[in-house]
Amino acid sequence: MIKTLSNNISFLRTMLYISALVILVVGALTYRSITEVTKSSEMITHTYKVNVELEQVLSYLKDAETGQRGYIITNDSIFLEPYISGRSKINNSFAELKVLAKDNTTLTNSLKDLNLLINKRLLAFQTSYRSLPKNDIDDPAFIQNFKNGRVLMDSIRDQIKGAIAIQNNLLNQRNNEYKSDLMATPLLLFSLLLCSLLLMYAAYNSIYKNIKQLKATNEELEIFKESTNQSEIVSKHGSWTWNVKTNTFTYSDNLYRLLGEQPQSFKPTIENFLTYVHPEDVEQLSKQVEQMKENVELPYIYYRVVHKNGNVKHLKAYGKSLVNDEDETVLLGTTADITDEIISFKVLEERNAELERNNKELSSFNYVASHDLQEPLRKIQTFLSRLEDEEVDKLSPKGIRYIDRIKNAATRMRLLIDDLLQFSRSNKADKVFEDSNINLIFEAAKQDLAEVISAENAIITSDAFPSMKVIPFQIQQLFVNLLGNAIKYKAEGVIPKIEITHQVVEADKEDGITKPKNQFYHKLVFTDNGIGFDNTYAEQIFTLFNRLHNKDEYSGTGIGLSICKKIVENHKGYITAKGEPNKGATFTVFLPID
Amino acid sequence: MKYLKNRRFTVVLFFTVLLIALSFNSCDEFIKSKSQQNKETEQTQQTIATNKNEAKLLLMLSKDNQDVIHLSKKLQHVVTKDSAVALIKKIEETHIEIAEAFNTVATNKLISIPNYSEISPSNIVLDSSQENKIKALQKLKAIIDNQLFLLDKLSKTTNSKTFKKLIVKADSKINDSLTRTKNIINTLNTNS
Repeated sequence: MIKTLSNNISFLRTMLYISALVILVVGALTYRSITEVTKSSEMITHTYKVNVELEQVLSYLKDAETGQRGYIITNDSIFLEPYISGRSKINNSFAELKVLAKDNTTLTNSLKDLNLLINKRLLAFQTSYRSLPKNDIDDPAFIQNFKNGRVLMDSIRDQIKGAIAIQNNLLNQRNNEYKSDLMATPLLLFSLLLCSLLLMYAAYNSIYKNIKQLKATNEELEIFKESTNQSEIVSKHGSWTWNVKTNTFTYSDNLYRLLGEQPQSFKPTIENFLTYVHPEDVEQLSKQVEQMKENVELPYIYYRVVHKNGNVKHLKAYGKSLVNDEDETVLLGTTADITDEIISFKVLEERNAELERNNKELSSFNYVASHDLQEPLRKIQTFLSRLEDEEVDKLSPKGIRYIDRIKNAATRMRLLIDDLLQFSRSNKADKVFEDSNINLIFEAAKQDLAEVISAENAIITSDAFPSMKVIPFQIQQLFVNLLGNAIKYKAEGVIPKIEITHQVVEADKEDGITKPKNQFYHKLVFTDNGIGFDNTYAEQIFTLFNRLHNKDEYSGTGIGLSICKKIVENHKGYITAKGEPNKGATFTVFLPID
Repeated sequence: MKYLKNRRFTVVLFFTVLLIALSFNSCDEFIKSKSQQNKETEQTQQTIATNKNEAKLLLMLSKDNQDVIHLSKKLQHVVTKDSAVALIKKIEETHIEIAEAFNTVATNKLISIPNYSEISPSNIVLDSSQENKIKALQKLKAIIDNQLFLLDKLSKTTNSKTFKKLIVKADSKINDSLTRTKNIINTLNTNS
């Protein structure tokens, strides 16, 4: 979970912003704390100054008092100096105190009271030394005045002590605040340091991981690049890029090889590339290159290149345009050497044509041979018939037997030629498919076999067939062959019964249909009650000239079912056979529905 | 313009500009703060110096005022002419009023001023002799002159409205006293 989050760019960015915010907040708090410390320090200094000034005022008064006593004792006016200058000095201290106490009403009021007391005390000094009788310090009035002075001095002391006490309380309070701020500041500074270190570590960790990942990715890329180079060599491919805006190209090493050059042997430009293109293809390729700039998906481009040694190579190129981060269109392309494919294709084409020509010749030979063979055969049969009619009395019994055998052989040969003719017709190219009424075709087939059906009393039942797109005469031949087969191979002493059913089926659900090209098929099932056959021969019976029975038991050439298979294949259909000895056989025909 | 379409570049640019702006602002604030602090200290020192000068001048004015009152009282006992006595009496009353005004301001402004005269009895001889009377009056005139000088100096020193009002009020009264003193001196000189 954490790993996933740490790989998420948005998460890392959010973390960076949060960390920056935390550092800013801690920094702001630290700044505030330092400001508070400075303020507290200033306030303490302020309190000290007030106390010092108050003490100074008391000191001036004490000096004045001492001076006054000196004067009284010595009657020397020099002792009065502290008294005379005292008021001025006190006023100077008051000037300082007034500024220091400007925001403190209590102190200001206290100072006003003190000022009054000082005035009284100074008056008392003046009264004392003015009223002193000549050398008579025992005068009661003088003593009283002196005592009053003492009381006033005590009051002043109390007043100053009171003010100093208030200031000391304030000082204690400010000291506590100062200490608290002083304690908080290192904590905040440490927090700031810790935050910075954590952020630095997180950043280092992230960068380290990224570099590691980048290195691994680079290694993979190197491997991939080498693998691409190898695969380009093996598959005869080359790749290129084209920055349309800057008109700059890059060619892969193998693209140079496709042009018959060493890798990176010339500057990759379109002009240089065109010098290798076959002169007949240059114009077309130039047009297609122009089209590349406009289209996102490009069609395949085929052209030839001529190597310096004169070899001509066929190339196929494909490109796709992309827009990069700088909003520039870049075409990525692949070029493949298809010379071998083209050579193979040409050889295949030639062989196909040759094969087709051979097939045609063979068919034509078959048809012509079958057709031309009939004529001498007919003569043989005619002259045999004449011989039988006119010269039979002159022939020995042995000669008559020979004539019979010649007759049989001729008949059989005729049958064989007819069937071969039929087979060759089914191979002929003039396959015209048309919508046909299968019911009519089926009736026509039955009509062709009317004589046999009647002779064997065969019972034929069938479903109604829908119209189908078929080659009508071939389908009629198919029906004739299958029905004829069913009657020919009837069981001894059993009336042949043939049932033909029809249904439309889905290709995937039928076993008889392999690799279907259509989804739906007509399924025609011919079931008879004849002699049947062993299922091991189910495939073999469709092979040309293949017979399961001796020609003396059942007449036939072994071509009929081959013709059926050929007809069904002409219709792109399927035919299967299934049999059970002495029970009957089933032929299934699948014809596609377009 | 194409760089601005790159989101990362825009964010980095924004933060860099913000950081530079904040740094400049902070430095500016620090410089301003330091300068402000110096200015405030200087202003405080200036205020203290002004306060001291004001106190010194008011103290001197007050001392002179008490001396005027003291001398006026003494002169009332030795001057015989009724008109002169009345004038001296008037001078005493005027300066008692001025002393009250000085006291009020001194109390408010936290300045200690005397409410007695420092003139030693031995310094001034006052008897019925015309010469001593004239000397005493000359002394009175000199003190009042000095008061006017001090008032002028105070008016140049102070910025306080209270002091300005006091100066205006005291100046006219002291000028009256000076006129009266001069008149008394003239009267006595004429009689002699």
